[in-house]
Amino acid sequence: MNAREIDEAAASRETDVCIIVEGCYPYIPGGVSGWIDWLIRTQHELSFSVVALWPKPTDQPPRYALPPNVSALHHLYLQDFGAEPVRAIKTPPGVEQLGVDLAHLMGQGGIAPLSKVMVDLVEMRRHVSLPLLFNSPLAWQIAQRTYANEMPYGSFLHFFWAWRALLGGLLSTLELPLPKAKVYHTISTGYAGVLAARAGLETGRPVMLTEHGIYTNERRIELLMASWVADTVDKGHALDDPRFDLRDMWIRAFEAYARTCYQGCNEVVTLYEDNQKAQRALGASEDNLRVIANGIDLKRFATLRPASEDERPTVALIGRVVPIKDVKTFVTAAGLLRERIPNVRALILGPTDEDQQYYEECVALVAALGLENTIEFTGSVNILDYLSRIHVVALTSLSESQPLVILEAGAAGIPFVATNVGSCREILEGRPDEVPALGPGGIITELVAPAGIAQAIGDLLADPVRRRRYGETLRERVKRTYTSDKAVASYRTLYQRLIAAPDRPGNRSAA
Amino acid sequence: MSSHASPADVSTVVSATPNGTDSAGVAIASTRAVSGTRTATWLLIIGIAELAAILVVRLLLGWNVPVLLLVHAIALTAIIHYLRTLRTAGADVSLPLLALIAGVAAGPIGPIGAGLIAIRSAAPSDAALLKRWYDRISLTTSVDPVTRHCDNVGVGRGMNLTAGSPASFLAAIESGTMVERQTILGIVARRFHADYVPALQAALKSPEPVIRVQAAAVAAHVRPEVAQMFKTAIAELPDASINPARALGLMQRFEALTGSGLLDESERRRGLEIVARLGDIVLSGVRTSRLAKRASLLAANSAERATLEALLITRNRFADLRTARSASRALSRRPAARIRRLGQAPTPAARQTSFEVPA
Repeated sequence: MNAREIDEAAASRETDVCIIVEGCYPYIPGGVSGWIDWLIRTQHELSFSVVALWPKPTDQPPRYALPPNVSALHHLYLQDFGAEPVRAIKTPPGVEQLGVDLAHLMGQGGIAPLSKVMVDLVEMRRHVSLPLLFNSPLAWQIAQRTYANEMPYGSFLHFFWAWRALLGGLLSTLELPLPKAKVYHTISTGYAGVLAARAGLETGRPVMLTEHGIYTNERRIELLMASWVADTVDKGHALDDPRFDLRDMWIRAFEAYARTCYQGCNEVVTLYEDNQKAQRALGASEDNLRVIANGIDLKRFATLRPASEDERPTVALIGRVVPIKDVKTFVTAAGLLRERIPNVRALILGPTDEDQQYYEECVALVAALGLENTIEFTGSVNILDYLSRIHVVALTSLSESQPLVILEAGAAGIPFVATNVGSCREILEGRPDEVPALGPGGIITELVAPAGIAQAIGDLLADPVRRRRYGETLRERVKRTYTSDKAVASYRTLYQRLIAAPDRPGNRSAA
Repeated sequence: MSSHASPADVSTVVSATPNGTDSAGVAIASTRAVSGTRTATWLLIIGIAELAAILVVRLLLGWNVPVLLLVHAIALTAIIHYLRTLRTAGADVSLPLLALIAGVAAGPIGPIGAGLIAIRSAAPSDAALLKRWYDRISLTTSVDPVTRHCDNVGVGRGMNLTAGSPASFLAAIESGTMVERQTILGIVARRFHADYVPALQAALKSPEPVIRVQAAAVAAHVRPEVAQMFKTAIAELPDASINPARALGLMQRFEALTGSGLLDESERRRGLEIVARLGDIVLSGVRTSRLAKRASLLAANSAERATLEALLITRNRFADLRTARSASRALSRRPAARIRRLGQAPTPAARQTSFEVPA
């Protein structure tokens, strides 16, 4: 199977922006995919192409129809590189140097190592194709040398397959014919970030990154917990054992790719300031960092009025019923809340079919706590139909970046109780540089803390004056900072500046 | 152990490797699989061709030594050429090398013999041995633990016995480096134990967003495991009667689970009921100060002693608490006293109280 599907004719037609995206748009609904769809549609005067990176060809139908200003959708399959039989080849000159430079790129990362590898590959391609090299005994020798240098205590077998998977993905991104564009815009670091950095080097055109969550952190968390990564070195409970193992290798590679991406980008955008700490730590230049918050269309919420005092006290969790939203903590909090406010109603507004088992566990918990008359799972609904009946909205998530649901509740003047994740604190309490400071628009609680969440919700339900004040504050903050118009204008300005920027000839010659 | 290769087999494989690990073993297996048959074919062709040429020369020219030497040299050149081709491609050259050496000494018998060895090494009879060996290098659980341990020590991937004692997870979560904190959370996720709960709870409250989010992911990850531990603990509760010493051990276990913050509320409430009933049984063994001393001796470890003290405080049994503490201090000074007293006392462990698991 071909490791890439790229329309050569379309790739040669220059677009204004080439979006590079890994594992979501246009096949996965919601989240980052929805944001990309919004971005492309709102920048309707610009032309786009999209490169979608996937592990392998997907059977899923696209969840988003491509907007009319997208001229091409290209695919790059990371796991299919070198799907050819093993064959002995003559040793091309420079293969040893290529091994050293690849190890450096996968171990340290950075734009200089990427540049070196790209130069090595130009030379290498004169003698042998990369897929053939990848499946030759020469690659085996490179793997052995890398292993002896980096992970001599670990299991070679495990090292080999991990190294091969990492290298295959990397070479895929370095082999893809680049679609022509005036700006390359990646939506994460990782392989997409490496591809964008390469595009900058090869074409001399500006590169930008918009990170919603920090990709490297997400991968690190996943890898540290993963049972599919074998611990081949017994480190016991030691925290300072210097022996390098598979988990270290995977994490280090993603950090190296992030470093490469950050160094290769002219603009590093994120949704909130907390994220910038991680970006700085992995080498993003302070001058390139900027925050562009997501926004919502206030007009949709303009006619909504907060729930009246006469209505049954109602709190809602708006979101999918999945473990990451920690719905069980919300259910438990609702149980505690009922002890304080016996007629309280707790709504869970969101689809329940994504993780059926988790949903059933939540329903069982509701039954075990005797909350059938308190809690209602509504399934997917139009939240505009419900917001006028809700006094407080709560979010018990374990992880978020910048949840739109807080902005939507705020636009409707409803105060919020949220766990301390992502930009929740920034939205509810305001950034430190907010002038004039508006004050709190809700209450931040600890994670997995039902008692604290119940207390916060109960305080707001029991105090209508405070509740209204918080709701109005949140509405004002959303209006000032988090409108869709502001985000659209920020991206338009940024794109225009980068599109007008001259080529970077120095970088082009380096490539 | 009998169904697996012995550690000696591994040492044979390992000692043949360039860097003391299993890499060459993998190389040998891979090369055998890919090129064993091809190598055998080539060596047999060269050997048989040389033999045929010798017979032809014998028939046509008799024992013409210069011509026979020429034939031999051509055969050796062919082997050398094949050997170089394999070496350039990075393939295994051990059998062609053997054929060359044997060929120099024994003429056509050398490559033919090496070819036969190549056929044998690629034959299915090696498959079982290869599988066992592959199981070992792929670290599957089917490998005997003793064998695994020998392998680990042999290649240096066993636990570092010269390292100091591990750091306190709780302390490291609060003041360690970012890498240390992330490493701890990884360990908590992969090898959860109820004793890790305080560290996890501290991480959930960390001012560092990265740690908080990772801790939350770990909490979500281990919740099903904690729920299972709770179910197991309930299943292991005795059906009918229970003595105070056992009740204290069980109470400590249930307290750790209910206090983890990782159980669903319904399970937590049930756990608290069980803890309360177990507490009653423990207290029934602490009726007098003299018995309180014994009760403190019932605590098998510091965690159980802490559980007992917390119970005495909760139930306002302060006189018993003082006695228990002084007994603990005495115990820490004179451990032998514990054995003597347990031997002399009409042990409370013998007193059985009926116990019913709350629904």
